[in-house]
Amino acid sequence: MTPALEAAGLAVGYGGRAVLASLDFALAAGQFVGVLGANGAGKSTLLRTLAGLQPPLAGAVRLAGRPLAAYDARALAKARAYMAQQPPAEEGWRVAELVAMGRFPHQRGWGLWPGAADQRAVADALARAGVAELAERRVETLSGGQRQRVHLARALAQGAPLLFLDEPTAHLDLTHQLAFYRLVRDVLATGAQAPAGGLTVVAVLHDLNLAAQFCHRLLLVTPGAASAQGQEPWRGEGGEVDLPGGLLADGTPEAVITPELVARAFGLAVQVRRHPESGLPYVLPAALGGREPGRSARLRAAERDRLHVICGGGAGERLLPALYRLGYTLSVGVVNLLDSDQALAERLGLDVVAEAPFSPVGAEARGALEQRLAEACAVVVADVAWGTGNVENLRALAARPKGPRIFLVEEGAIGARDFTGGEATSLLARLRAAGAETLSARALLERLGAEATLP
Amino acid sequence: MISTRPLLDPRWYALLAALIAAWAAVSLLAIRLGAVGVSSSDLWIVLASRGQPADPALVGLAAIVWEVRVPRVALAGLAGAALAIAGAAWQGVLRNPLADPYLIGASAGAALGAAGAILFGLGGGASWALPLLAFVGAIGAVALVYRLASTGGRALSVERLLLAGVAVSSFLSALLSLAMLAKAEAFTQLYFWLMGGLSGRGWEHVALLVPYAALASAGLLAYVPRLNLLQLGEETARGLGVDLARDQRVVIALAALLTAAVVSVCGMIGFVGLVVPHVARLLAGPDLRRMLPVAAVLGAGLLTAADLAARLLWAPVEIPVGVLTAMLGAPFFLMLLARRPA
Repeated sequence: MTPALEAAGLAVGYGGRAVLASLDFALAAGQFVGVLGANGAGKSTLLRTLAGLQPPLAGAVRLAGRPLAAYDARALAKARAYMAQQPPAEEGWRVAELVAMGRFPHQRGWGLWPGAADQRAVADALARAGVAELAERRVETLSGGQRQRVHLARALAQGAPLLFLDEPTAHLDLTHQLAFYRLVRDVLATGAQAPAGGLTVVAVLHDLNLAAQFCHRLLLVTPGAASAQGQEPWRGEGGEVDLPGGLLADGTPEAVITPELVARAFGLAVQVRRHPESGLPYVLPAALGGREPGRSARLRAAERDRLHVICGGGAGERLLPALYRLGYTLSVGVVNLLDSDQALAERLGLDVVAEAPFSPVGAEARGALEQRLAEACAVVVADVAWGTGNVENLRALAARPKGPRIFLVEEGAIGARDFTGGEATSLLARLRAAGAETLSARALLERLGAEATLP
Repeated sequence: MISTRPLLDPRWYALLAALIAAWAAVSLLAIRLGAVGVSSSDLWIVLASRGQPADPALVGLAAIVWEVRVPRVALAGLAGAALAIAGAAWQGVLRNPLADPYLIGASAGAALGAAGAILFGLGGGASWALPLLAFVGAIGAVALVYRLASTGGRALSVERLLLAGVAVSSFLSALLSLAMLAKAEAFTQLYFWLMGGLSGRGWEHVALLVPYAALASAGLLAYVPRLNLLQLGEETARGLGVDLARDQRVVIALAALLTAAVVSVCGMIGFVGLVVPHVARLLAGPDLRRMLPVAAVLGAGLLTAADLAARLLWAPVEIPVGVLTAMLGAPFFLMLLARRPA
């Protein structure tokens, strides 16, 4: 069956700068899908792009199998409805009039004499959103919760099979939040009006627990290093490097709400328990007064997906943002301070083992490196130019008796990069003989990308 | 059954009927009152014969009624309605209740165009030259402001539009001052034109205004449902199928056309386009399908009444009607501003 919504290689953002990139997913009809992520990670930007309210920077969005670009404004309004975070309500409109505005894409002219289909759709939407008894009230006399339900009714009256909600309960108390999401689930369950497969709802949510309780499926996005607004693009050795975030996990609440993933997406140490009644996961933040959430929590929580990357001199530019986006926890080194890869790794907030500028790797740095190598589940060796300073990295790696998996990135012949009089070449050969894989950067990312799909 | 038929409300019809009656009464009064009074029986004879009464005693009176007062009343009604419609569309599309086409260069451009006509001696006999140049000036200035304010294909920023409007208006006003310095004897004529007025306007002016007013109004009426949706916010409107960037451009162009047409014929009549939509909204609510007809009739009646007052208050001297509307409109505008939540 054609998915209700598909994103292929999608990149979203503003002004040519991607906030989220390399997004691929397909949503089946009839589900309530939650989009989760930290503030500024680009959830709303993603939702707006999926809804056709802003153009994608790359890739494509397909609604019901048709690319967004193939819809004109009116056809799009019949295919999807969108509820903004806080729609302004100008004074003086009655609830029924506001809901009737949802029929605009189906009407011509002034809509003075709505047909039977229009009237039925409005009455039906009012009833399904539970606001039929408010129909004659003025919108400005309603409470926040009632007003959100009226806007839901307006979106339902549009009669589109896809419904986008941008933090619909951002300004409501807990009772009204619960009531609203219960309503959305009820609407889904009785989605009689929508075409085959039923209504599909895609909502940006803030609250992990509400998302876990109500959504069928969750998309967890992780912020990129460039997501902080106003940040300059990263300029590396090979030109501008884009550092957008991406899709960290996609699956059922049980699969997505895990301590590891929450730690990575929010930089927050949490416990995940089961709700005693629903059996669904709920999130318990680590006790107050505990450690400052942030990088350390993220590292501790995600130990098993640690990768160590040996790079330097710009060789990491292609690898680090991509691996970061794939959701791996990365350590980097040993690199020299002031090296462009060191600066990039710091910008990405990675765990970096650094040596003084232009100095060979010393004993202290070597010790730190060995510790990282012991913790990593795999080591990536970038196609670095090897000299007497950094070859210590390879020595440390070769000295490990039974080390982690090793990937050797090779884009060109090693001869051109070996300035150690052959030592680096022979060390690499030894690693290869001991089972290290040699592959291109692209092949590596494809491999690790496939493996990064978390349970 | 839930009523979603906006025009089913009998109170709305009563309101519209009352306003139309008031406009008709004011128009009738404006035709009868003045330096020469017209009795209702004479008026009836003149109107019934379309200005060609059989009775030779009435020929002089007929000329006053048919060639002076009736076209003037018609022009006042037309201009008032046009300014109100343009103002309502403008406030709707920019989602700013304090927006006015005059703010984005229409007036300064028209003034410069009119000044050009007067300076080159075209302001006198050939009545079409001044309106034409004023029209070109107004449209040109709005187009320039729009161009400066738009940022490559995306939806328009209201702040940018208003700021560009202020800058362009200041620049054009400076040019105008320079032009007036260069030819001081043209000063009085231009000054009277700038103050806005309906004196000395005849059927030819009505004929000048009608096609533009009809075209632009009809165009704007087609955008009424979209302007309604825009009240729910740009995002929601786009979600409902409004092609914001394109629709905004069309509405701004049509409103500018309408305003420029009025300004070129009647000069600067301020505050009608700003204040009348507000009053209409208070009377008929925010739904433009109900509000716009009310605004049009209200604008027509108001400008007709203002013009009558301008003729009578200080007779035999006529106050330019733009002075009167500004004197009434500005305090009202300030009242709105004070009531507006911060």
